[in-house]
Amino acid sequence: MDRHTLAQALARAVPGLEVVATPEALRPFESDGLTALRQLPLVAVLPDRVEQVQAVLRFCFEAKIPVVARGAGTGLSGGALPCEAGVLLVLAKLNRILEINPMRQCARLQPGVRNLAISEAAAPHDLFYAPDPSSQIACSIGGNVAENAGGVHCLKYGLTVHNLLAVTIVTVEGDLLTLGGPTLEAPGLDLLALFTGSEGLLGVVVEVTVRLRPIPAQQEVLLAAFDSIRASGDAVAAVIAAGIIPAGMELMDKLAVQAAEDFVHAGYPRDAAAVLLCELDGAPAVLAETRERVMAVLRAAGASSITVSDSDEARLRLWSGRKNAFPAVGRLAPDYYCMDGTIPRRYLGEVLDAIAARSEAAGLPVANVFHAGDGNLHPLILYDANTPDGVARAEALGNEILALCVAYGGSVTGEHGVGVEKLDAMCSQFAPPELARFKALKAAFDPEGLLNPGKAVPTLARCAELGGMHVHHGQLPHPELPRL
Amino acid sequence: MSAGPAPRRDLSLDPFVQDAAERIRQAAAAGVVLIPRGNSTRDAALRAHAGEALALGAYAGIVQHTPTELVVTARAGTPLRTLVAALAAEGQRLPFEPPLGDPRATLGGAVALGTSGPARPYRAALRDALLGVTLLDGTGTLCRFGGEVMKNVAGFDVSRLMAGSYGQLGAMLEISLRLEPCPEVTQTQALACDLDDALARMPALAARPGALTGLAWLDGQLLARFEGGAVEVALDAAAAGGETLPPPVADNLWSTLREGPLAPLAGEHLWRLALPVDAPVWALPSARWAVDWGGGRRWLSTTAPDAAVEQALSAVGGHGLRVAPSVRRSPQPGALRALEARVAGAMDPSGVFAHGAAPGEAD
Ligand SMILES: Cc1cc2nc3c(=O)[nH]c(=O)nc-3n(C[C@H](O)[C@H](O)[C@H](O)COP(=O)(O)OP(=O)(O)OC[C@H]3O[C@@H](n4cnc5c(N)ncnc54)[C@H](O)[C@@H]3O)c2cc1C
Ligand SMILES: Cc1cc2nc3c(=O)[nH]c(=O)nc-3n(C[C@H](O)[C@H](O)[C@H](O)COP(=O)(O)OP(=O)(O)OC[C@H]3O[C@@H](n4cnc5c(N)ncnc54)[C@H](O)[C@@H]3O)c2cc1C
Repeated sequence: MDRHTLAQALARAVPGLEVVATPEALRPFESDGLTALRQLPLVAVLPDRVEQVQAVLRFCFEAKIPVVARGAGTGLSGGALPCEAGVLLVLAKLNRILEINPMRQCARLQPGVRNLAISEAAAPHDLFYAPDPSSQIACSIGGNVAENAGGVHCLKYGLTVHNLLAVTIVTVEGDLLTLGGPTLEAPGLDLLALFTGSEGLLGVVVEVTVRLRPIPAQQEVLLAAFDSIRASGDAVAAVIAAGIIPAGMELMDKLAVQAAEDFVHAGYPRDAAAVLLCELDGAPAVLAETRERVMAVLRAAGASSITVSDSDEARLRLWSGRKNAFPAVGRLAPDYYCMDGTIPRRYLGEVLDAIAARSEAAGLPVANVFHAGDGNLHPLILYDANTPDGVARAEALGNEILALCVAYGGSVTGEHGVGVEKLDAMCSQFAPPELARFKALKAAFDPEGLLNPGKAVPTLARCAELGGMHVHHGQLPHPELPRL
Repeated sequence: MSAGPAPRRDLSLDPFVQDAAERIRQAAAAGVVLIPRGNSTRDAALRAHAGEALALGAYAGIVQHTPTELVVTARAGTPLRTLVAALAAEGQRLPFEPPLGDPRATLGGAVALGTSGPARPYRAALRDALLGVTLLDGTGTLCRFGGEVMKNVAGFDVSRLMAGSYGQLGAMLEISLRLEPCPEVTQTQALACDLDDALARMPALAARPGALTGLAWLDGQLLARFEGGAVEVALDAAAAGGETLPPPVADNLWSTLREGPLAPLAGEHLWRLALPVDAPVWALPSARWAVDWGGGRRWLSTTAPDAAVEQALSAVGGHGLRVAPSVRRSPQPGALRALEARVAGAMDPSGVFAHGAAPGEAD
């Protein structure tokens, strides 16, 4: 079907549906946050009622047309990259907060509600929605469910999956189905857990019920400077090992610290090799007690200086460097490539050293700014896409870093998802038997593979071609290379 | 210089695993149904399902516990009490406070049943703490999902799907769980009151951020448990009011709530209900109640017919599990049941584990 015919047929089949079908008007939808990849869909549709979502899916199911769901398009792995011969289903107009229920401490939301809007709406009830991705002013709760998004406060309060009660989806056939419910326990298989983080492959989210939590009495942030990145990584593991779970623990290395300082003047020590931001929350007396314990651990771990925020203003200023770190690093080079590997926390120092060595060998600077408390790395590889092999070199270094994470018992993605970007990396983390189960699970929801096709799960053929990538029995891909 | 990562264990070399895999392949080929089993401590509660036992209780032992990481990996046959004791020796515990049951009850059984205890609304559900599972799928193939890291969105979350899967999706071999440090201080406040009064008071107690890790009503007392640092616990307990229970008395009450607080009398049916916290108390004949999860879980022993309980449940959007005289859960909507069957088929294409122990479990 060509663009024009499809647009007309959809408009006819779904009364009142906004259909976008000219190349110029489709341009804003051609990529998500991973702007290196671009593709115009055949058409984009922007339903403003759940029945329209159902009707669109019914139509596409009948006509065997692929459907890619899109929330706010802030995803970093190409998950919402359109399909050339498909429909892009944009959920942004379904953006109503349906209910805030303080008694049950929950909120019912349409999928296009922005993450930050939930906490704003809950605040009058002294409640908040805990998962807070750095993109929270823009990203949608539907996209958060699809990616199992995390954020600074997930260390203490959990990821998206830990804060959901129910998700209502439209199946590929156009039917409504609710996974989970208003209670903390539901009978049968935990399809809600399976669905969370499924990247739009299993169904389209049209309603989400999230748990809200009481807002802590007070928050403060400690900024600790370190003379080596290794010591800062080990300090994170030491805080956890001491039995303290702060509200958040974020690390930034020298390159990221300097970039952030130049950009927002947060007051970070420019000469530090690494800066650790540690947020504590609770009643004032509780904070005083925890602060002493954390400071003792950080000093013992080699912190050269520790600053404590003494007002909300000071706290927000210290956070501003972290919150603006991505754009700040973005000013250092024409392009950057954000990785998202996770590792056990005890290896943080070791792996950061290894990344530095590989960065030097590759001749590409790497800035690190990440969710250290969760062991979730975000190495930002700086490169220039306009040099002949710029992209290829950045990707090669990225894949090397991800293989390193897998070798240390970690994962190729902690929160950004696989999308199209990490399909190759998936072959290093999973062997054919697991991939076969993923394929079968996909088929259980979507037998004809119409929902977000080609994303998240690589084909066995693709992995076979990559062959050597699979980390076998814990051996690194290149055992001949000297270890640090 | 560094030690580098620990090499990944290769379970496929283990003779026990090889035998179990062979057994699954043969059963699948012969059309025989297998029921994965830990130490069968729950056997009596299950009807005699048509299927042979795949005994996994002997596959036991803690594989790796790295206290500084707050993560443990153990074989599925490890007795839950053994695991809990080993963690306690390092000052750590399972965040979901599962029923410990019989001393021989296994970790695999606990994960397969997916039950969380009193701390569930305030700390974690069992599935929340589940980081990774290594299993034999329905083709007898070894698969490893998740791992030991806190965050992992590569591939579908099959590990968490195993929580509450009743042995229908595969035979679990190794299980990795997130742990938490044992609190410095635990204190329980009690206030004598009736059930309606308790339910009315609970939301205010739950609305306060802080150290609350249990909120229940048992034997005419509202119970609020606080855990954490000494300063925080003292503050929150004082704000809650009531009298402080002596620790042994309090421990006993919370373990009663964890293991199941009511025993049915002759002619009564015993239910474990999941309800919205603001659901009203139902007027039912000779009903005895115990309440956990701030009102979200209620135990009910009653002579009322099952249909009356199920009708009251559906009116508030709740779920029920009849625990005695035999296990029976409230039915799922048909579309969900069909999807569940397809999901089970994805993990177990030949239906070798399709023993039907979960969905109806009718008498
Ligand atoms: C500057 C920046 C910082 C970021 N920081 C973080 C962070 O701290 N933590 C983090 O986790 N992520 C972060 N991200 C990534 C991104 O914001 C998250 O993945 C977010 O959850 C995506 O939401 P979205 O609405 O933009 O989804 P989109 O990008 O539109 O879509 C993402 C995926 O979800 C699917 N999807 C979207 N809506 C639906 C729906 N209704 N039903 C079914 N599938 C759907 C899409 O098909 C796609 O696969 C960051 C991104 C940026 C640009
Ligand atoms: C009447 C009764 C009811 C109980 N109800 C509960 C309850 O609701 N929740 C709870 O937590 N505890 C319950 N218990 C306590 C229970 O004994 C323990 O939870 C225990 O963990 C079960 O361990 P087991 O090894 O004896 O399991 P078993 O009795 O051998 O098996 C129990 C279930 O788990 C599955 N299973 C066991 N091991 C594996 C494995 N390795 N891989 C895949 N599946 C496996 C089985 O297929 C079966 O569905 C109950 C006990 C009794 C006597």
